[in-house]
Amino acid sequence: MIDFENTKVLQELIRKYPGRVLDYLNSCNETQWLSKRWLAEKLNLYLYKHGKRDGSYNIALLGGWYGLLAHILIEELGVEIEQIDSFDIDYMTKKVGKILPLDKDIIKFHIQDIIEINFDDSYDIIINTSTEHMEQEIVNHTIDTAVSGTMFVLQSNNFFDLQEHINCSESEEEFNDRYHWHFDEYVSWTKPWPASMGDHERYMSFGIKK
Amino acid sequence: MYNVYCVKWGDKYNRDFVTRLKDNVESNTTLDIKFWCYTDQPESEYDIPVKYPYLRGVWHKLALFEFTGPSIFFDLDVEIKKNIDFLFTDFQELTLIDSSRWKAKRTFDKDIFRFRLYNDTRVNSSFMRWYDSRSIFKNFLSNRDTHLRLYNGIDGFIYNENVSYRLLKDIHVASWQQKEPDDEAPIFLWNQRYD
Repeated sequence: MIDFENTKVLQELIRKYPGRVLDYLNSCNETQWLSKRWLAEKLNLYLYKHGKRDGSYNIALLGGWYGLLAHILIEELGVEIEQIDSFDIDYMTKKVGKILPLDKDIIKFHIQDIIEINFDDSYDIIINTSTEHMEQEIVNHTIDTAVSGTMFVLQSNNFFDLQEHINCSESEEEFNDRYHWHFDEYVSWTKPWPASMGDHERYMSFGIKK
Repeated sequence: MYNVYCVKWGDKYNRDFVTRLKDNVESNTTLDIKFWCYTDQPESEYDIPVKYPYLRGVWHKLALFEFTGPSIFFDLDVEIKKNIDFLFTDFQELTLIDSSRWKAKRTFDKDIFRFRLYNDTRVNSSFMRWYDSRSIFKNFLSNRDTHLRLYNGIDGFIYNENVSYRLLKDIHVASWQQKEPDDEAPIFLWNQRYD
């Protein structure tokens, strides 16, 4: 059974934005939870080794959708978070996000094309779990415009069947070939996804921009 | 001269559908037309290679809006039964087919909630007519990822994204999905029944 808080959320979503209900539910499906929790688990270890000794974190989420990852980071990351800026080009993510039970003091939704952003020194961590949805030059732009020392978290996959996936990677090796030379302390992983969730591999890497 | 387009992408329809439609169009108009096939497998002199290879299936129909001038599109499974000279007028605004006649009982009257939940549509793009609809495709590309996620095809996109359009008169179109399709209609839609 869903709890009363989520019942209220769904009722309001259905009333206000019925055409977004399924998309919201999809943004919280098992695959999404698994990949985001995998990220949080590995990032905790990485921050323990390479993170700040003190102070809080400003985090940018690129292609943040309705905010699931932002929510998981607040719940599961063992560091203090000052602010999470969730960028998405879809103007409805902000409207839907307002309805959702998210920590609005920390999570800020921004409707902006990330190709227009100069990241400079604005963020301690820049997270992009949607690289397969973006042209490579856009992903490169986000890395190029950030200052040295910015931590990056990148995810992709080899799930070519989905029509939104225009920039998948063939393998972890091919994924790393695109990014490793940008970063120090570069690490990467592969996680196989079962047939029930599309039978593909997901790739993830962390690094500190040189 | 008027441009008439079709789209052939992938292997859902074989080449015979293109040549049949071309013959069908050319033999049912007295006007000066040029037939084009927008395709990922160009092989004829009237073929135009797709410009956005990462798009799939019906989404290439939207890319046709990059072509300007008096333009008409037919799906490959459209059958033209009579003279269609009357179609080559009123190019100012995008014109589509009203699909509510054959979808009414199934979707609209009985289940409006489902209609809104699934971003369903009351238009059908088996026939399209336009002069300059570049802004529609530009709008699609500006948020391509979201549109591909939300809509099954371009009919849903056009209907739900506030695209300006007009509808072709009912008497000109019939579909096998109607209970009693009009045999006199010059345009007959098979709507993928060939699958």
